[in-house]
Amino acid sequence: MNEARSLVPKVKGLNCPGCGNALELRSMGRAISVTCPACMRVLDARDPNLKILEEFFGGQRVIPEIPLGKRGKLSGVEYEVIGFQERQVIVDLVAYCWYEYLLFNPYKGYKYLVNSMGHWNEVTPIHAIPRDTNAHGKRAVEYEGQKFTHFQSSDAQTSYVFGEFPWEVHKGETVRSDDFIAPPRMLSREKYSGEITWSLAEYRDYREITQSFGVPLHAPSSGTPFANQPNPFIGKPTRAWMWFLATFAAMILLAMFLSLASSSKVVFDRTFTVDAQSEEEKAFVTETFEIPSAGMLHVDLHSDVRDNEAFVGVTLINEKTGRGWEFARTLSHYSGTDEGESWTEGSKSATVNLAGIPAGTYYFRIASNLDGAEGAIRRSVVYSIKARRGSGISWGLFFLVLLLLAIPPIWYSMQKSNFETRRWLESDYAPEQSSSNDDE
Amino acid sequence: MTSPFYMIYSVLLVGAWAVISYKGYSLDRYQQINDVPRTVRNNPGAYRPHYSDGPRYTGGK
Repeated sequence: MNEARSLVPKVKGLNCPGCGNALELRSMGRAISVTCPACMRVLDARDPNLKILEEFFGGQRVIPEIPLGKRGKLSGVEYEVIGFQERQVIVDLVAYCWYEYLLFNPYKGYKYLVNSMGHWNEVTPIHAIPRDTNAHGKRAVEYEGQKFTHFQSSDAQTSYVFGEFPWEVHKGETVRSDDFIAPPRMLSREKYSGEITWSLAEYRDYREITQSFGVPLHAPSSGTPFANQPNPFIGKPTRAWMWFLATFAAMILLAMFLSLASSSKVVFDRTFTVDAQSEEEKAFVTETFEIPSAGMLHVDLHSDVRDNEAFVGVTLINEKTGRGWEFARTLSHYSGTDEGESWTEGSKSATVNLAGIPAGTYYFRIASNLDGAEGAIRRSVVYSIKARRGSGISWGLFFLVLLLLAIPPIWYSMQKSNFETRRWLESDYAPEQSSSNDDE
Repeated sequence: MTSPFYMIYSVLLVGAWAVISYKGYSLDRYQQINDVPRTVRNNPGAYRPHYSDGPRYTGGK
């Protein structure tokens, strides 16, 4: 309450010498220039008669989003908006504008709020001179132990003024400006008539300013990151990769546990013969064997077939329940020579993986015959069937899961990098666009 | 701390992988039959298998 009363400015009753409009000064006698809100003339606030410094030569009036006289808290301190400027840089005949609000607190002095396309910065003039250095091959300055990398240099022109200022403002005044960034902070150097001033900017979300000053503000108008806008993906790739590594370690431990839990035991291993003269399938059943626990059963078929094909049909049958698992494979092998080069074709072996086989007593029904084309060499074929329990772990699936797990950290890394790339496209270091027309 | 969505996503993915690996899975082609007749032990040639991918459809006697 006491602080609020102490902020009530000593309003001096003045009238514009140009149009007679009443003027209001808020900065307690510190203003050097003031604009008339009616006729927009720039007046000398030090002159008791308010000498006219600059006429307003027409043009569009710019309405500040935060009206003059509005108060709000920044960094815990209450300020009042007393001045407003529109500034611009002209690049390739295109004007890029931003808006500066001059704020005043009788105890803390002046501060600025700068709005560039919805990106807000709280700017404080500093008196120290940052030290020149370099960073990643670019010019840089060091301030309070932090490096600020050069982002861009430009000629900033004042295109509109409104309110009161502690310096003599002139529309059209141009200063040489250099910006150095260390997001969310930015150091700006302005050079005018041999005088250099430094200021430190801190990025502020537009919602924070809305809440502070009680005026509805708009989100940034473009998706292009501002010079010192904090990267929203900072830290996320690192945390995601750490989690990925932890998950990978957990999968390795699980795989080891599952491998140990399921024994790789051979439960059936027999050899059979297909008669050379056999043309029809001959079916038979084997003796029973035990599968001790539920899980995967790998059935390996192997033959010594040569220049022929052996058809093998297999049915694994649970003696008690009558459930069966059936498959057929053709084991073949052909070879020859073609223009001096030898060739082979076919596979003498096959493995079939049967999943979810319950524990129990089983036997095989097997049917086989030679299946070669007419004219193929007919000789007896010996083949073996081996059934073994094994873990269900497939390394193909393991790496597929790993790949799926890597997608989010890869995405975070790409987003973080993409944000920085887009930020620097607005700097003096953006890659030049290649010309599409080459001179012949 | 990493994103909760990523944590949930990875837990579900690894959990599914663990269950599949424990139970076993196969991409191989084979048929499951629920009621193979007991007579197949005495007369295996009379049984009609259901191979879906072999070159032969029926067994001979």
